Amino acid sequence: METRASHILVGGFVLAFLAGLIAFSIWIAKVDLDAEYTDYDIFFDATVSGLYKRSVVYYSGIPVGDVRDITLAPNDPQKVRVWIRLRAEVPVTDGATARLEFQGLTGVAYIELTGGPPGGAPLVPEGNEERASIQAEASAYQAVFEGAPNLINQTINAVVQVQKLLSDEHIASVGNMLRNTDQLTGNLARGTDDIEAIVAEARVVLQKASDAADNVSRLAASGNELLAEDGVELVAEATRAMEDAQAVLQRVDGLVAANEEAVTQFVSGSLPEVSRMIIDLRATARSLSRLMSRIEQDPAEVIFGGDEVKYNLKTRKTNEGNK
Amino acid sequence: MRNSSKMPKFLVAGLLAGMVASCGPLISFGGDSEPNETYGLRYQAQGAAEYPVGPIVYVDSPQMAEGLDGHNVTVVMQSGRRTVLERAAWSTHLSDLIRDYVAQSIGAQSGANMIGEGGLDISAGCRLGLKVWSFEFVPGETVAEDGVSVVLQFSLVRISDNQLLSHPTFAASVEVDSKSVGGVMGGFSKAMDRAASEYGGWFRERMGQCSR
Repeated sequence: METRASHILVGGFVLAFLAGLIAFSIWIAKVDLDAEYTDYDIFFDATVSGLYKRSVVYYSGIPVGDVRDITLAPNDPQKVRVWIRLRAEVPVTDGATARLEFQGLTGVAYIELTGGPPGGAPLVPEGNEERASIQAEASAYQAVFEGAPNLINQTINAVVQVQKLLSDEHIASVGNMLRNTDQLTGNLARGTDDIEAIVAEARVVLQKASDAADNVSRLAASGNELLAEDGVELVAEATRAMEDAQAVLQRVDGLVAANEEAVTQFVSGSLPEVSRMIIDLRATARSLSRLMSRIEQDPAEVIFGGDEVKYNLKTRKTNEGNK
Repeated sequence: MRNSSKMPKFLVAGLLAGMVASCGPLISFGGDSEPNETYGLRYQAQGAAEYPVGPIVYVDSPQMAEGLDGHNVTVVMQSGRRTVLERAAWSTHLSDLIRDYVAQSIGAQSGANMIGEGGLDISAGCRLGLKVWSFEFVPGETVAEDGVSVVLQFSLVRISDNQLLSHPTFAASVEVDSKSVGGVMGGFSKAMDRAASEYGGWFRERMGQCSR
């Protein structure tokens, strides 16, 4: 006895299941069956390193398509043709531009589109071109990379100029000037040498400094325009400083001449006594410091004395029994 | 009633006695050991000139090495361990004794005006600095080998230009009779006398550079 099978019901169920499975797959794959796309070409004049197929194309920061292919331009191998596919609703009009950009420091490139003026005519293929062309413009990064070699060359030129300025001969001249100035100020600070001799020495130093300033001035004249301006300013400042120092020394000279007896008496008579007093004060300070250290370590030992180990002449041993 | 009023007085007296007794560990009332014998240093060879006419030299307070300063007499054992001599003490700080001895001995031998403590306001021609490297009793293996060691280093500086004129070191070691404290302390005087004869001659040769 054969059962009466419902073949129509089973077949319908299987077909419905397959249709649902296909719909589910389309939903999972996010295939937009109704979407319409428009393809464009972009011709870049420089490298598009970091750009790959499927790289994203942005329009004012909004992802609107991707890169379909990257090849050399058919008629000009120095250019790169990038084929992009955009949603049809993206307003790519006459005047729109494309720019290669990079995401952060990762080096991943993308294309940023900027729309043309509102109401402009849509881009259409010209002649026998397959796709309409969007005008490319250089990005800020490309400008930096292209300008870097020139910048480095200019930097090298600047370093060469500075090396000429800082030659051994000029450094030696400036070093002599600084040593003489240091000796002059040191003698003034100590105040124990003959001040008359210091003033005379200062005049010699000023003469040497003036010669050095002349050398710097000649150096500045031989440099390029920028260095020459700085050198002139430097020489002017140095000259003003020397004039100020000359005025100060003249005042010191006059002061010493007016009080020569008192200065001589102070230098020859009072200074040694002050030196000895400072020595004694230093010894006193050292003693106080030691006392404070002992008080900090063991106040009772300072006040009442410590348990010292003593050597006995009769037993020839210490009170701890050591010989 | 009478007994109850007296009890607090006994309690107060007991408490006061207890407080005083508790101060025992803090306040020393003297030990049972024999008292120290104190000694000084005095140059005995010849007295100073009554009216010295030599250059004026300021004698600095000596710098004492290895804790030599103080009243104790330093003992350096054979093992290198440092201790102090029992029942012996200097009459004042050793640095003051040595300063006075040096001033006195050089003044007596050279006729120079040696200015020590209290002479700060006197305009001097030279300054005599002193470093005491050794001033100690050194016990030997036997009594016959006991001795004292004295090492002094001088710095003669002309004050007018701060020039170091000379920087010598003088050492003297003498054997001592270590049967008594007095014998050891007398050894220090002998060692200083021996050193004084050497540094006195050294100073006489150079004191002309201290004239103003």
